[in-house]
Amino acid sequence: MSLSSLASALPPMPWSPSANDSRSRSSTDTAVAAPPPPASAPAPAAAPPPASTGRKFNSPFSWLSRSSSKEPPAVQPAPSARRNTASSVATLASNPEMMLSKLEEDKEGEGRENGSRKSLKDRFKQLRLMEEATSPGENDKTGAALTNGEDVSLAVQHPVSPLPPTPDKNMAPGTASGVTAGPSSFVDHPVDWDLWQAVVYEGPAAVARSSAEELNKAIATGIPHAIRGVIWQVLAQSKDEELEAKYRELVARGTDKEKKDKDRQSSGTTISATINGSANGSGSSASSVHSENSGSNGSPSPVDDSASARKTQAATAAERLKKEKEESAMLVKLEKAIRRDLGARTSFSKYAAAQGLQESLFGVCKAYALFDEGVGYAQGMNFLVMPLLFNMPEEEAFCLLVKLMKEYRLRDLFIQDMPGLHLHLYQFERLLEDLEPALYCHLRRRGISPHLYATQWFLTLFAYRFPLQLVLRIYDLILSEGLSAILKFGVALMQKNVAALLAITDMAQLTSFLNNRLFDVYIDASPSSSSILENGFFGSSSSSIDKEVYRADQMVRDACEVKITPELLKVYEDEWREKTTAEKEREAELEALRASNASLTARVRKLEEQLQEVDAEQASLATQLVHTKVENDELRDENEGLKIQVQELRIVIEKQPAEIEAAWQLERDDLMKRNGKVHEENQRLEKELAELEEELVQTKMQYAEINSQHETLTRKWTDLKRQFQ
Amino acid sequence: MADSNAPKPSSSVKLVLLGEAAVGKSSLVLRFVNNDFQENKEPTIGAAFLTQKCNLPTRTIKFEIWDTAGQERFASLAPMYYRNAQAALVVYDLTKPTSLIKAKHWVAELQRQASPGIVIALVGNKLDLTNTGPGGGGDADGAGAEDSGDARKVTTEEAKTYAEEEGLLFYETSAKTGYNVTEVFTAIANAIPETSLKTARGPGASHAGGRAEEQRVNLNGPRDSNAKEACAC
Ligand SMILES: Nc1nc2c(ncn2[C@@H]2O[C@H](COP(=O)(O)OP(=O)(O)O)[C@@H](O)[C@H]2O)c(=O)[nH]1
Ligand SMILES: [Mg+2]
Repeated sequence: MSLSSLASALPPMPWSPSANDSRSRSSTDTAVAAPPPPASAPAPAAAPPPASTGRKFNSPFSWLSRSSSKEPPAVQPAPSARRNTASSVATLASNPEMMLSKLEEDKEGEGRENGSRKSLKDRFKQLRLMEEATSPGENDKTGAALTNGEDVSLAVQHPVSPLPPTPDKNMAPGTASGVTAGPSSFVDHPVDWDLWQAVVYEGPAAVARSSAEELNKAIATGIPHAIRGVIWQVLAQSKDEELEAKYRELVARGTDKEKKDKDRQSSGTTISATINGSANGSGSSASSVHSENSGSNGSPSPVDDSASARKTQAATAAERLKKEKEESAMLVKLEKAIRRDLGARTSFSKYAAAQGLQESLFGVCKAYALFDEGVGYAQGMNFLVMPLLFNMPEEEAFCLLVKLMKEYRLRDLFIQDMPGLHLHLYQFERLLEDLEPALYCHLRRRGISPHLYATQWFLTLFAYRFPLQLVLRIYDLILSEGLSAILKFGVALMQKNVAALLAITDMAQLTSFLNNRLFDVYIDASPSSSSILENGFFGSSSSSIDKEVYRADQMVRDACEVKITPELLKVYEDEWREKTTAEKEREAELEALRASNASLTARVRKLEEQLQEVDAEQASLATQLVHTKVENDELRDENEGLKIQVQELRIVIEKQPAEIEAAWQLERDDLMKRNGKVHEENQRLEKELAELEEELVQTKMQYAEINSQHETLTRKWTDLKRQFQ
Repeated sequence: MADSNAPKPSSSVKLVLLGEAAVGKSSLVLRFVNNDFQENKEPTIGAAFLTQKCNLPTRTIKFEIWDTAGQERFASLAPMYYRNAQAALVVYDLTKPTSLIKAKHWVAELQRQASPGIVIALVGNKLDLTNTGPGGGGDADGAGAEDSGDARKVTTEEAKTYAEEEGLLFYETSAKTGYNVTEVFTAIANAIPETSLKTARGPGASHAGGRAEEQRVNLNGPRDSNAKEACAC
């Protein structure tokens, strides 16, 4: 219970056993060989899985069957220690993470994997036969296996194997059986085929329990190229027919859909053909080459798969119709983005292009982007996938990628904000601080944090710039130990370069060195003939060092020597989480402060505006005041003037009555005088008038006299006239 | 070699390239550093580091160039690269309007988070895909899967107006033909204020100094940093 809870606190390995099964398994271990799950009984391999039980209980010398006579005795562990369960406990110290994860066993997973493991087993068997046939000095070993009663069927089958003993020219040299065979330092460490066989047949968990040390050592010395693809998949337990079908569906999405539909209706030839090809491909790269062997392999029924593929496609068909338009637009965009990144500059991609792997690479990237929406297509994925494609068909590479992402938690490095990346960078920096404090200070003083150089290591598992020779070995360790192996390699690289790095003081030079030259320390100045054979095919991205040979064994050894306990990593992880939350809080606080600052600034601005208004008002008041004052002065002056005027006027007024009196007097006198004169005149005129009246009377009297005279005369006239008449 | 011909003062300038994926940041750097162009470039992972000298009449500027990865998810790494940077090239793709929007975000982030005196150049790349620019237009290569003919989607005026509002240098370039590429870097070199150049830099001196500065919290929005000297009330 406590163990399982402890184990669950750690990132689980895909093949992590479950606690209760380890108990049941240990009981079966004591019994005679447990028969393999029934489904895994292909014809020639029908012999019960030999290694684990045989290895442990047959004889104290059973290890001889696996180690060829050339293995230096010094490297061999004591047989007793190996047989003892204590040996696995002892490895706890050397590799606790692995050990802890092994305390559990995934029974469920094992049951599910049966079918797929079978085909991997078959493939392994073929490859082993082929390898042993082509490797000189392997006869001893086969003999040993025979005497030990193991793999009789395999040995017997050897001569009838349909596989050509010649190298497969279509496989990546160095990745499959082609140019080289066996682990890198073949001459020094012969391939422990039985161990690998045990890994394939019983699962890594079982082997790790029974002979952890050997397994660790074998992986550290390099998985033989020929079986690397198989072993990787076994280690990751990634083989999954359903997922492979899903892969084919995802890859086909958006491409010639109609044509595909038609094909499906007419007996599904396309799909079953694809399945046949991939399932029977015994090699680790191009599957088609091996199609002639298909008959001899117990491959899963293609009909089942096409049926299930048909089913899933039918189920999604209706849904797909709806979203088809927007989806296809999105697809076009996605495909364009992926294609754009399939550059051909590194030797990796040059090599991939030369091998016709560009389409597989495109397919795996596209399928994964569609498969995992939280990640989508992330730049860097293509580098991650290439080493897989060099070792297995694309369907299997896809499944392994899914495992790497999910179970190995590689996914965390690619999701939004990349928490996994930041975590690993932090852990790496802390480890550097612990293990190489001088270098840590040297870099820190120049402002070079791991973000600036280790990002590309972690995001691409070193595949971005590193030579493939090294990358494959890094993958070996990651797949067997877990993602934290990248920290070991990172630290080992730094340790190996400490002197060189400390000698550089210029920031720019340091950064260039860290980004491009770090793996140069592993260049093999005087490569042995076997390593030339192995490494002769390509190197790093820079053409100048294309043909270098690298001491990959040394690098892996160095990495394995970096002791990193899961507890320590957990401590650093907690530290990182604390730091990030603190940073987030600080950021939030900062944001809040920023907001309040903004509002305060706004207020200040407003107040300033108000102040300005008030200022303006005040200024206008002041001018007004001045104006008033001036006006006031003017008024005062005016007032004074007026006062004087009033004074004067008063004097004038005071003088006036006398004057007026005097004037009046004069005038009155004058008027009286004039009145007197007028009076006199009046009297004179009255006298004159009386005289004139008298005269008038006299005149009238005269007139009357005259008038009477006239009358008398008139009568006389009339008398006379009558007289005359 | 004599006194009269004494070596010009030389100083390092940290420059960062930002912008959406595939606008041509790495291509611009490759053109500037190696005078080379590669149609099928692999993507940048994390960031790439390169250096290149730029000779001015009075001094030599040594650019320490950080070419960042453009994909959105890499954005959380960007502050590592632009902190203490004295110059930034914010690149967009003339044929892709969304890339200008992204560029504006980067400019805003730089103005908010980067060193206050940072010189920013806005660069519209892939001018060769347009008819208007002198950089090209007739190239029927079609490798970018763009429509043939004029693929311009962002007008010079729009970008230029924006650049002027924000006080950025502005260039339209083609990494493919090399048009205007050196000019951008030279303009940046000239725009770096003399005071912010540290000649004869001791080992890591500038970065040690930069660290203290980095602790400084910039509470001011972009507006304030511009208006800082304006009001003395
Ligand atoms: N036509 C044209 N294509 C360019 C130009 N610059 C870059 N490209 C292409 O755009 C793609 C992305 O370029 P890259 O430099 O990797 O962009 P980055 O992601 O911003 O670094 C590549 O296929 C280049 O060939 C240019 O000036 N003209
Ligand atoms: Mg780039």
